[in-house]
Amino acid sequence: MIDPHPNLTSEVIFGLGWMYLILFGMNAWWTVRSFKHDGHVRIRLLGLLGEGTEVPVSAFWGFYSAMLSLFAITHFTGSGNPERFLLKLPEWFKDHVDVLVADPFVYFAGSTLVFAAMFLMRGWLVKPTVGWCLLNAALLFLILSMTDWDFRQIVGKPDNVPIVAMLFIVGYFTWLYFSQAVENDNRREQGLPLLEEHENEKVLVWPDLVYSELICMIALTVLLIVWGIALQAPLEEPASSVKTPNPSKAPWYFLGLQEMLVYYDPWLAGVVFPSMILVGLMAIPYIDFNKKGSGYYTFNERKFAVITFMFGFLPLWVAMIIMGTFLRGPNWNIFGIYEYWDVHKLEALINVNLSEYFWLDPPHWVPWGGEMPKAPPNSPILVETGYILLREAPGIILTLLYLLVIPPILAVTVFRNFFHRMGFIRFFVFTQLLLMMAALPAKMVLRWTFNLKYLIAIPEWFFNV
Amino acid sequence: MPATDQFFRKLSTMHVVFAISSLVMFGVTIWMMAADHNDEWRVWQTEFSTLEAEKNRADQDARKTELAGSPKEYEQKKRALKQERDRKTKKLETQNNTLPRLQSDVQKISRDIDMATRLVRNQRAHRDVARANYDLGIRDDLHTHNLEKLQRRKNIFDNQQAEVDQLELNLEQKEVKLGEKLEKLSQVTNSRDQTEAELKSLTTDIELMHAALIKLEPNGLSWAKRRIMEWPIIDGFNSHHKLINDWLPDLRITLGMTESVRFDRCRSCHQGVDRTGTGNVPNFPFGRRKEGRYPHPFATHPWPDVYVSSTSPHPAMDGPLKFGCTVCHDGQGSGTSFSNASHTPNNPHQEEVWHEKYHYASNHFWEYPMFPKRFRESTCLKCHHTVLELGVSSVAAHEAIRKNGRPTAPKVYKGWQIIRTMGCFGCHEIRGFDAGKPIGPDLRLEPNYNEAALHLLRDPAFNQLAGNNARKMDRQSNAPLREMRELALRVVEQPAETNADRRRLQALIQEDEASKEPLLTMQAHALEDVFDDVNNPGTLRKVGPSLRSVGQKTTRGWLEYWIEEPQRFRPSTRMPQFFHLSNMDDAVAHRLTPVEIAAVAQFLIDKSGKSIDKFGQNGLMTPMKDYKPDPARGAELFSRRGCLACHSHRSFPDPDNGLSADFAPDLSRIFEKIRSGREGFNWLYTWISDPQRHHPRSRMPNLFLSEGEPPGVNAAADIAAFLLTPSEKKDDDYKDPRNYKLAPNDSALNELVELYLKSVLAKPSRDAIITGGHYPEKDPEKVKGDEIELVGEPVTRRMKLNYVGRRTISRYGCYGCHDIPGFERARSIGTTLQDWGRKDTTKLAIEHIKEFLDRSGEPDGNSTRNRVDKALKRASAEAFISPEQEEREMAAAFFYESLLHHGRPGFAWQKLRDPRSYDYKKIGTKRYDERLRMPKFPLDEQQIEAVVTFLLGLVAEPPSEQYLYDPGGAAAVRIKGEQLLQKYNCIGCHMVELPKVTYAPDADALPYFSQLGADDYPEGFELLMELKPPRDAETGETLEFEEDGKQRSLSIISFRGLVALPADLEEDPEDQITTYSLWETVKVKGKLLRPSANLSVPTTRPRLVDVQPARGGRFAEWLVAHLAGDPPNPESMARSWQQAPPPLYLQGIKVQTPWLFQFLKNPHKIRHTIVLRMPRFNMSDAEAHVLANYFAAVDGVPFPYQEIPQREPDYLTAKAPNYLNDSWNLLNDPGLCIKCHSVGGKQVQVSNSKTDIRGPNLEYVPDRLRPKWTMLWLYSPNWLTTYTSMPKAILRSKPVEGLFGGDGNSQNMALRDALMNYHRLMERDGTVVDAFKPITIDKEFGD
Repeated sequence: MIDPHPNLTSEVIFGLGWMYLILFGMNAWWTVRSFKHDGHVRIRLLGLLGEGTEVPVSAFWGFYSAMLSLFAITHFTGSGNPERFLLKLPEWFKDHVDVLVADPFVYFAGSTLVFAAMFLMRGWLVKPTVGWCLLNAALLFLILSMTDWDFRQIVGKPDNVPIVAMLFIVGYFTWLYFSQAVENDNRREQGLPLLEEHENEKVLVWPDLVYSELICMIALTVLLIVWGIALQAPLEEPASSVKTPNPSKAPWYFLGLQEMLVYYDPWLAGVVFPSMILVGLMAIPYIDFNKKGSGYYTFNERKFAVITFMFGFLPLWVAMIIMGTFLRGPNWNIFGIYEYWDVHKLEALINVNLSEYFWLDPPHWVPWGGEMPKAPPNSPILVETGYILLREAPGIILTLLYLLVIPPILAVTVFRNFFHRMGFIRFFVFTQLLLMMAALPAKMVLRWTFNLKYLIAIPEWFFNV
Repeated sequence: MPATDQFFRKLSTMHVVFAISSLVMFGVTIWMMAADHNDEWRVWQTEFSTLEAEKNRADQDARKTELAGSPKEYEQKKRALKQERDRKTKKLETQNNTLPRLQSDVQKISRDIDMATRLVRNQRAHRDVARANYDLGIRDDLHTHNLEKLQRRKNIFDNQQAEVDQLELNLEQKEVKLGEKLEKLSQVTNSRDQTEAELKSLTTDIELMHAALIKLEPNGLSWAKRRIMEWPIIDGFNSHHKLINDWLPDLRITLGMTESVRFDRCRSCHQGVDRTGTGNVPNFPFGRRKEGRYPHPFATHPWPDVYVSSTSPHPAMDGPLKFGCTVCHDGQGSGTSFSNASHTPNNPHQEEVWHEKYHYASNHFWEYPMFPKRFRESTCLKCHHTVLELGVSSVAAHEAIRKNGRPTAPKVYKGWQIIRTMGCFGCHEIRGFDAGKPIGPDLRLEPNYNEAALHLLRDPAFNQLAGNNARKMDRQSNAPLREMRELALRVVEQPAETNADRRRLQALIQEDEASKEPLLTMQAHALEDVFDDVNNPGTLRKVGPSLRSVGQKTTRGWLEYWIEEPQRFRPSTRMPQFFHLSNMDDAVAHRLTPVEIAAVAQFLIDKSGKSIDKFGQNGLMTPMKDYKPDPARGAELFSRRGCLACHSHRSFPDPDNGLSADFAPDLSRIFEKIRSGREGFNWLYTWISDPQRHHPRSRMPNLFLSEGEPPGVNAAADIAAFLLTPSEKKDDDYKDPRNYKLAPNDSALNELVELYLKSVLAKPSRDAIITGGHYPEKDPEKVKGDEIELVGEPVTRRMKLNYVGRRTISRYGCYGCHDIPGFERARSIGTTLQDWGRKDTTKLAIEHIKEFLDRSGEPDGNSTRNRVDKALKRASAEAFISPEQEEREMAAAFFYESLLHHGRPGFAWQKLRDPRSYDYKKIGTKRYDERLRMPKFPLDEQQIEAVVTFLLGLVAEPPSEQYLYDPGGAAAVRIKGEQLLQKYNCIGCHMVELPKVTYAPDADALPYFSQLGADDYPEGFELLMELKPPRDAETGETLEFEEDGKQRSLSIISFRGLVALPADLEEDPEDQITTYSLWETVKVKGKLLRPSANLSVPTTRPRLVDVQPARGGRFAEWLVAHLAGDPPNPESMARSWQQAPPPLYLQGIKVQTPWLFQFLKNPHKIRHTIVLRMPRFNMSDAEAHVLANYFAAVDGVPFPYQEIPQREPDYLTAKAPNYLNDSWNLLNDPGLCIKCHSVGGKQVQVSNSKTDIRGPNLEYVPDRLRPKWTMLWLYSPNWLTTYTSMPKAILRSKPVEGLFGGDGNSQNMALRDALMNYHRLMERDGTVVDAFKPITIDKEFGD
């Protein structure tokens, strides 16, 4: 009877019923649409039906919708006895998901893979049925996951509602971009005019623009008011310097930045990188020499630009926000989405600086090892500085190599073309920005693979990289 | 491409969309406003005004009934009066011809007066302008440079003033004229006016009430206005629905990082909470609506005498100090909905109900949720740091609380008492001060001055003083040692009162340490800083006995037996259990605990010294050589001489717990504890004879047991013999606990040594010690820690045991309760608790407690979770057997749920139920010495809840100073005195409040006092009324019951008195009658009942409502029952009471404070009839002062000094010349006092101590008794003490002839005056003459 963390309660079951009902409504509409557009498919059932029969595709959607309506009814009628309710995520599923998700390496690699797949499979992805199936899958996943107490705590928190909405909005607009870009790229290939050229009809500011804007404004205001009434702003504890919330999280849109703090010192993650992001975004028009793709959707004509930007936005920003919101729990540890946020969970803090690797634990064949260079006591400041620089020399050299040697190499290899068209300064700025962006995933990988804490660790000067 | 003529979207569709979206926008705006307006408190306010109107109508009817018999009759009466008035008016108008003229005259003059008044007013305005102009002139210095102008202004003023005077005179004349006319008019209309006045007096109240009702329920236009004012937006313009903000600027609240002013909006919903009628009667009493009462949130505060009302000590809003609501209840005062106010359910079931009813959900972000009902007393501690007044209403400063007799916060008081008696503060300090400022109750050990001084005295240097060496030493080096010894002994006896001695002692030790050839050892020098001054030192003594010389008392075997499981030896012990608890049920613990126990016992025995050597060789006394102690007589003496007031013993079973003597240990098995043989006997004999020999500060008093009373009997020796005689036959398999022996395994001992040495020594050194080598450091002076036990010769097994013993004592903090040698500098081991009520819940080590409670958790091993589930099911089904069961089980559910949410209450509850359960499944990954150490105390769940209530109140958030309870004056003395009553268990023997009986008598059959008897003095009666002013005995309640088939209704009365004759238990319970003698003067239905009247009280319900037992004096009652024989009769009861410790009822009006002080310090024998003497307690002067004042403070009479006017020359010179002589002669009259009292140097001769009544010697009277009390005592002794054998001194009907004109009253006064001047007269006229023979009664008593 007393259970502080019930996976299912009558109210939850009843609420999920509504979600199934909405999903049913959406798919009922889709069934109708499918009936009009999708035509028939031949079903053979492994030869059982001989030559098979023609079945309208919409029949499957109809069946699926019917199932959804049954689910909705089950939830509305069966909410009395939560302990016995069966429509919920099985524990084994949750356990497996948790193991996968709670590993930042898997998470990041996974999101990068999905990112890559998105580009490779874009032709298939942009089909409306595929998009619809993905939406259904996402919604079903959300609904079923709601049967878990821990998941509900995170997703259901009024603060996190915009983030959940953001997932769907980002997904939709990415899909929209690809569908338009793929269409245009196909048209280019077939020599047809672009979509934008095809529908190049100019409209009047009044009423076509202003009137629409006015209506949108009203609609948005309505949405905000309803949101304001339905989801009250949560009142949390009074601020106190002696007792901070655990986890202490930045506003959701800054969670990507906060994630960087795990891998970099505050001066880098909090000052240098954000400034670079802003400066870099401002610099794009000046770096960009590709005249194509302006004023219309395309992918093929701006592959590098699109992939680079999207990599910065999706895996490095949005995915980090998701991680910060849903996976980062007490003590900034990573938790699975179905895992209880227990403050007692520990992660070993065993990260090591590069200089320690280099000086203390070098490979057996090198002549040094076992001791860090350290200035004798009471040395003059210059001697001390020399020792510090010597100690951190490996990291400093590596960093300098990264920032100064890679650009020329790039200039003569993969980016030869770029270098020619940009000129030295533009190319240098461009490569620096690119390298800075790559620095985050690079450091993440180093951390996960070598437990590397800092490349350059000079706590004496508060300078760590 | 140019824009087409066509629009991109169809405009008509756009219009439709726009229209729809605008409508939706309008809709959600309305919704927003409605949602904003939809406050819970509006609903409550609406409902409350309905209830208020209902109540108003009911009150109107009640008042009408009161005025006229019934509402109907009221209307009739009103109508009749109106008619009469109208008739008389008509008659006047028609029949009286002077009336019109008079009326028109009055009208005309009134008009004139109006006119004249206007003129006066105008003229005064002009005059004021003139005066102001003149004043401005003074400001502008006109009187120095333009006197003329100033004079002009003065003239203007004078003229104006003259005109004002003229006009005022004119007005005055007119007013006089009007008066005359009105007078004439009223003569004419007199009869009608009278009727009018009668009508008005009838209707005024009702009309006032009706006006109030109209405000609540207006009609017509007002109704519409009232309704409209409730609409959204419009209600912002001073609607009758509004939030009520109570600002409390001095009661601040800490929110996160800042302190802010507190404001409470609770009254917005709790509208009736402060509505009280006259006498603080709730207007909206709490209860069910069905019963005509009011549920929350409408109800008035249930205890307006104490809270909320303006005359209570805690007024909510009006009063010099306002308290609001949340400073006591906590919760979010600014919240205006049920949930936002942070109400807290009393149990999970209530939570469910609230959730259904009010959509309740707890807001865990608010740091101060309301205290649930079970902890509502916790917050009292914020201001009441002395706590005592919360549990003992008689010491309260507020009279209403004292009179009511119901303690204000008994639960938190109980928790406080438990913490004090169990000694929790030995490990867990509760600091009452922060930087000198009081922050809460202060429960701390006193500084270790006493122990350090005792330990210092053990220094070998002092041995030199005793032996012959002393002479050899030169005087100079000897002197400081002698002085140190003297000082140390004084500090030992009175550590708190000898600050100068202590400082001097400290200085001497420092000097010695600094000198080249120190006399003392380093260990003694190390004690020096213990003698430091402490600001606001703790005041509590350790609760356990001193173990400094435990070896003299008992054996090592017994210690092992006891430590292992104290309750095995003495089930009622307060000593908690340290071993064999839930985190010790594994192989490691089974191996190591016997070593620990044996090591502690070994350590205690090895370190035990002799009792301090102040009285001789080893401080032990022995009875006379040839004295043969008699255990049988010892048993009788044990029971009679007062031991049973504090101790229990199985030879005196106490099945109904009437004695409840748990102040001191149960002595039943003491013979198995004390060392056997002569040694043990002498130890016990010494302890009984003079406890301070063993322990200079013992609270055990000296009962004068070895002083040979009765002659030839050494009571102490007899009692010692009784206690040491085995009380039952021993079985064959009996094992003497004194010979108990655990078998600690050597390897286990080494394991522990290794474990403890790990942090101190490296492996080779450890190995050396374990295998019997040396400790690396050889000089014991250089080893600071516990390892000192290992220094010396090759480490022996015994040394290892001592080392482990010492470590174990450190680890378990045994010295928190006991004085243990070597631990004078040790600090308490537990976490401090002064702000535990605000402890961050994330810092509570909850560990695997949920798993523990789900699997087991109950003492019998059952699952607590199951118990809670069952309780909740029962609660839903309302299937509890009794309210007690419900409360018990729902409390468990509450605490269990609290634990699930990491709540403080749940944590503390389980910590006290099973302290080691937080180690569940943790010991496998912990080192042995990291395991939890808190012992398990013998507390039941109710006691635990009380302790938790207290702990939760420890928030260290004192309000601003003026709110702190610091009564001063008599109230402060009452509190301090009460503390002493408890400290020395005075109330074990003496009643301080008599039993209070509440019952429903046949009022007609009560023995009312109708008129003075032949021998009663009217002056005596007056004095009685003064000393015992009558109290209204009726409780105001009536008892409805059926008797012999008839419905009866009797009013209930309550009174205080003593049992004069117990009920005969052989009769039918319905027929049993207990006879009480009344000690108060009370009134029933206006008639008087005098003290000593006998009241017959049935022993069963329904007539008997309640018997509240006496406060204190259980032993006296027991002794009386014991002495009065079987069956008792009124006479034997009275005689027994004379032999027992007297009730201290109204002691303040009886004795003089200075005498009481002396008596407490050194009690002498007063009464000759008693079977036991007042013992001498080890009380400091300050304590005796307080206690002496206490009784006067309780009874509201002057202290500490009293005037005795009868000794003053003014008084005496006003009397006849030979007044004192005559008085003295009267006092010595052979027919009076001398019959029973020794007086004037003449002794009463006692031939048979069992039959002769011998009164106290009269020489004590002038110092001991207050004159008024003495006077009343002479007039009528049994009005003061109902059971006394003292007769009225001089009968009114039979005064002594010759003296004072034969007037009995004058003679009584003369007797009193002679007594008050006794010493003076004795010195002048007293002679020692032959003894008189005392009167003898017929039969023996008391045996």
